[in-house]
Amino acid sequence: MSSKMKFLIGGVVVVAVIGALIATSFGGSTSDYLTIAQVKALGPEQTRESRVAGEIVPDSVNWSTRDLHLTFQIKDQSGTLPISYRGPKPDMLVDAVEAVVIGTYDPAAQQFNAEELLMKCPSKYEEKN
Amino acid sequence: MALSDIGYGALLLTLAAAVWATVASALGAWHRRPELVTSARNALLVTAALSTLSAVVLFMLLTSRDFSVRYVYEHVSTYLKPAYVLSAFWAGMEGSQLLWLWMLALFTGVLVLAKPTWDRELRPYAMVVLAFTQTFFAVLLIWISNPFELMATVPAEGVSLNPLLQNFWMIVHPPIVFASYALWTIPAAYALAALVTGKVDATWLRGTRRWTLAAWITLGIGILVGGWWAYLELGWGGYWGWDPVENSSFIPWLVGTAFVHSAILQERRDMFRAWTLLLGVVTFVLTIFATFVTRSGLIQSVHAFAKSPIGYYYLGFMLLVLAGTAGLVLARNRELEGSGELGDLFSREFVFVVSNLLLLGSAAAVLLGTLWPTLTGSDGQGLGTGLSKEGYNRFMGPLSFLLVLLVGLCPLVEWRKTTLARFARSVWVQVVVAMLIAIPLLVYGPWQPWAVVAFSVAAFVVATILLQMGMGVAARMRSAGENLFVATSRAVGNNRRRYGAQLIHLATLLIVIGIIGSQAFQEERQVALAKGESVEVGRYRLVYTDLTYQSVEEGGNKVRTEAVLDVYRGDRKLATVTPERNQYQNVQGSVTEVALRSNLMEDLYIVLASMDPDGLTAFAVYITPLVVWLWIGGLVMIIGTLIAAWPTGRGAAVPARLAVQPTGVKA
Amino acid sequence: MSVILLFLLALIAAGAIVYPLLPGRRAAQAVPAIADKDIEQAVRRLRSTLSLHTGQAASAVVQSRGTPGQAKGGQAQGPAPTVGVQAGAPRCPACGRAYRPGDQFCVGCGAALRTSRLPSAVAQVAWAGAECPSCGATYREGDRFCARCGEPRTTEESR
Repeated sequence: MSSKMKFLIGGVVVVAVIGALIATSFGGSTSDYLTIAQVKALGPEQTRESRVAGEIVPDSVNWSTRDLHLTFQIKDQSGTLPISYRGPKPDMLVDAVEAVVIGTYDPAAQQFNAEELLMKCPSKYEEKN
Repeated sequence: MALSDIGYGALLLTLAAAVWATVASALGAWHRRPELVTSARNALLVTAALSTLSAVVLFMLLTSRDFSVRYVYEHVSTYLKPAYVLSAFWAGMEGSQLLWLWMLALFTGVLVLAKPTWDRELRPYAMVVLAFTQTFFAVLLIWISNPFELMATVPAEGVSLNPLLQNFWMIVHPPIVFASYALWTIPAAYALAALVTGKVDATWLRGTRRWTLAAWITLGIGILVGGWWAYLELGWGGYWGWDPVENSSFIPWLVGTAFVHSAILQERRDMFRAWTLLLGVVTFVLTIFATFVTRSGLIQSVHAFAKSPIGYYYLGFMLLVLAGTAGLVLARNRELEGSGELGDLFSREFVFVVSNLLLLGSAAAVLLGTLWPTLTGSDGQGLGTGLSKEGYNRFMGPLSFLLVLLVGLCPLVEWRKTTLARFARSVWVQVVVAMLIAIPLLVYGPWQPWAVVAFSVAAFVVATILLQMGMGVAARMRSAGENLFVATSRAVGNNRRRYGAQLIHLATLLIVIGIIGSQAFQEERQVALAKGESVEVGRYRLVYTDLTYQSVEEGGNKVRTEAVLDVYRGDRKLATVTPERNQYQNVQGSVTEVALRSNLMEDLYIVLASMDPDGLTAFAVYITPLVVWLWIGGLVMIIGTLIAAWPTGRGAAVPARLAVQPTGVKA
Repeated sequence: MSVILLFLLALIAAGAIVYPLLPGRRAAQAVPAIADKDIEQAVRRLRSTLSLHTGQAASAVVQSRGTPGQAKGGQAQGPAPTVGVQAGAPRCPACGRAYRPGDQFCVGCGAALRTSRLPSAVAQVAWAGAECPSCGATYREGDRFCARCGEPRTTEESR
């Protein structure tokens, strides 16, 4: 077998291994972006994580220092969703700012248990009057 | 007002000069009209000068708080600290692009000022590419995202800079990253010039080596500084979130690293010419893509600037460059055949190939993950699917592991062919070292198995690198009778590329060790304390002593709340730390200032999470081992790159490739 | 006011750009095109140097078989005889050992030598022996450093 052939086969094998690794990573660790209505429609058998984005509802933010427990609501065009999050209160938790929450929906309690919160970084923000 | 006109006018003139430079250098090169090339060169000096003028104008507008200019209104205020006013330059889309253009024009100016030596034939074509890129940015700045746009009415006060951006790192991080993007244009320009002229041997690689190294190290440091900034400011104890903007700067770094190694392979063995050329151009295109991702709002991101149609222009430019390169590669197919023959699989050539594949595979995967929501999103209500942080770690972990392993194996595998016997002879010392590290790790437990393996491999690779560096010095000491110091400096001086590269690899290992430690063994605790209470976290005891409200700086705009904690280990008080949570008048919500105590073994990181009026204060405490080695590794990487790039004096041998000068040719 | 300034800038810029195109200036610049005849001349010089060295190399290989053990042990005391070097050969500036034309690093102490005029492919013809693990060039017997890249030869490789 010529050297060129050997290199080619070697290269293909390496690429295949890398590809397989990437494919399995993607397969197991993705979460769907859903609308609020879609999240609420999830049944109890759906244990996969999902992510939802929405505007934070004014005056819905409730923070308990003792339990480090945050609850608030987000809304989009399709509805409103109560969120529950345990952890340090995130910076920049501002009314009328957007949040992306990643976690699982609990249909029994009708609330979304967030593992991760991503606040939309306001590089523009309004002046308070 | 007149000032903003000058800024805008300077941009218009820059565009005109850039267009002329593109056309004139192309015509001058093609038709052998040197006067056109000189004219183009002057035009590029003009763009350097005028873009500088434009940038200076923007700085002046920002410092003078001229709110008649929209960009100034949007990013500064009368009470913003002067240092942050500077950084407001690149806080938004328009300013960032001006920064890009300015940096590119400056580097191009430096390039064309130097007399052509090795690149007499290539330079005019490289100028075409550089000038065309400048044209692209000038067009965007003039018509799509104008930093000098005026307001209809002049407001009394500006919106000011987002508090998250009001820190030292906002002053340094974006310029470093944009400088690296601008620098990557240069090897790409010469790659295209090489394709056009057919001079596709290693000439262009050798000539652009220092520019490439500068681009590479600047991008690497930019990424590390970004990580440091995230660590310090975002207050979640981590430094990397696989955020689309973070990813978009990491991808060109991976491809750029592959390019650097492919270039070495081509220089040494004259193979993979087309591959190296493509990588040079693709790295540059990816930096444009990175700029595009940050600007277009294509992907939801914590960093993203507002959405804008500008994305289509970026896309068009990228596709044009890629299509042009592909066409040229096909056209030059014959010349691209290198003279080097592929040898055995058990050879350093193959190690280079595999490392290239690993780097490019990682880059492709990160790119795919970043674009996944866009790719899987359908119209209507479906929004696509995102890859979680765990997903990224699941492939990056093994891929980086294999890469690190190859760093260790590469010096032990010889060019062309290695026998198993010779390999075993070279490798046994390091294997022993790795075992010596692994066994106590296993014994002391509880350690995650992957971390033990990772640390052992890291030990193996570090041992290999140190041995390699030491062997050369030892040989000099033996044969020339020099002492350690003299032998080291002479060895390094004679072989700057090799020792520099080894130091860079060592630095990479330090960073890897930092990542393993911080990812595998971070401890996190969340506690709510009343004044006087204490808590034990790790080996520390934290006593919460005080909470102070202060109304401070910026004319009452900022209210600082500071918690005071004493840190003890056993009975010994180590320090008093003051994590903060600050309120800003024009933003509802608050910004954290982390309290950080670092040493070589671990970081103690405390966030003031919240304060209740009833007296309970919540803290988040993170103990992150070895994270400081990431930053140390970065510094070592800079030193290594400087050594590798340091100019060699006269008398140092250069592999003579047709160095025979044709006599009788006058410049 | 700003218009005047911009106009002036435009004028200066245009001047800088047009200046090289003026008829008087054109002649002063020459395109460094490498003419065919220069290439031919270069190739001829190359050929003559090559034949000279191939002749030397053949005799050097024959000689080296009969001089064992010069590499091992001891310091380089004064200029050790380098196989295949003719009398009056150039000497290493660091240790004084004579070196062959084409060597880029001194084989006794590893110091960098002046740029060779020979393409490296030609220099390779003159050598025989094990291969340098760093650059692939072949060592000669007795070499302690690679002549092409300066890599120290470890004791495993030197025979």
